[in-house]
Amino acid sequence: MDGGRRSRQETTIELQLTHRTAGDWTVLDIVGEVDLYTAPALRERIASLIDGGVRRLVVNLEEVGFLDSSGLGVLIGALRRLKEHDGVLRLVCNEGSTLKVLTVTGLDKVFQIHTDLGSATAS
Amino acid sequence: MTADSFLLEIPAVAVYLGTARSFSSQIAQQAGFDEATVEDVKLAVSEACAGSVGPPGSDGRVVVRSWLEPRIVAFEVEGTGDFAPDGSQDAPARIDLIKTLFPDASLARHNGRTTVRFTIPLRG
Repeated sequence: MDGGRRSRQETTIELQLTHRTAGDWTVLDIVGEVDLYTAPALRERIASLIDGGVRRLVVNLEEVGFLDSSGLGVLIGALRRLKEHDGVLRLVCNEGSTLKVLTVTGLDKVFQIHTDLGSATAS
Repeated sequence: MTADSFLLEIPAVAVYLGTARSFSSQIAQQAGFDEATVEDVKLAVSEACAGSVGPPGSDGRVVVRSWLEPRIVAFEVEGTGDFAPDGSQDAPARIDLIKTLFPDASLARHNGRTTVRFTIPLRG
């Protein structure tokens, strides 16, 4: 995955979003905290990717230190939009608090969650 | 406020949510809670503050209070927000998430202000 093409990078105060290609997949790496303040930037980036034709998207949450319901809403919206286009969304998440938010809300049964990027982009 | 109580007042705008998280996590750490509980407190307080934030351009304040009692640590978040969805129809309800983490959490409205309160039992 390290050899993936880095196509665009933006930085806000608390959220860094970078996307790249990995085989047939587009990987969106998120670094920082996703909350009411930063979620709009994430929503906008994912919408831009989908509008640009991305249909196989991996959202990498490995470096997300905090995820709230606003962030969950963005991910659910992304899943819904991709399904409308016969697309696929996978999450990479192995961090305790982020994974717990997905679990306590029951969303671990809704999303395809992988513990590492390699398995998320394997097929 | 007593020696065992804490207060943070922030502008009711989303950019300050991180400040509320830092404040609440420090209190939870000082109270001796484990890392998972500290993370739960951060999330609950952040959700409560986010629900208390008014619309863009509002000039209200959000107040986070915490105090220690013999067997519990209490957190209370008060603001002018109405806990309305943040514009995303997909987002889970904030108060439901808080109640999942802390079942005794309550949301009250009075005189145009909302107050979220929850407690965490102290061990031992």
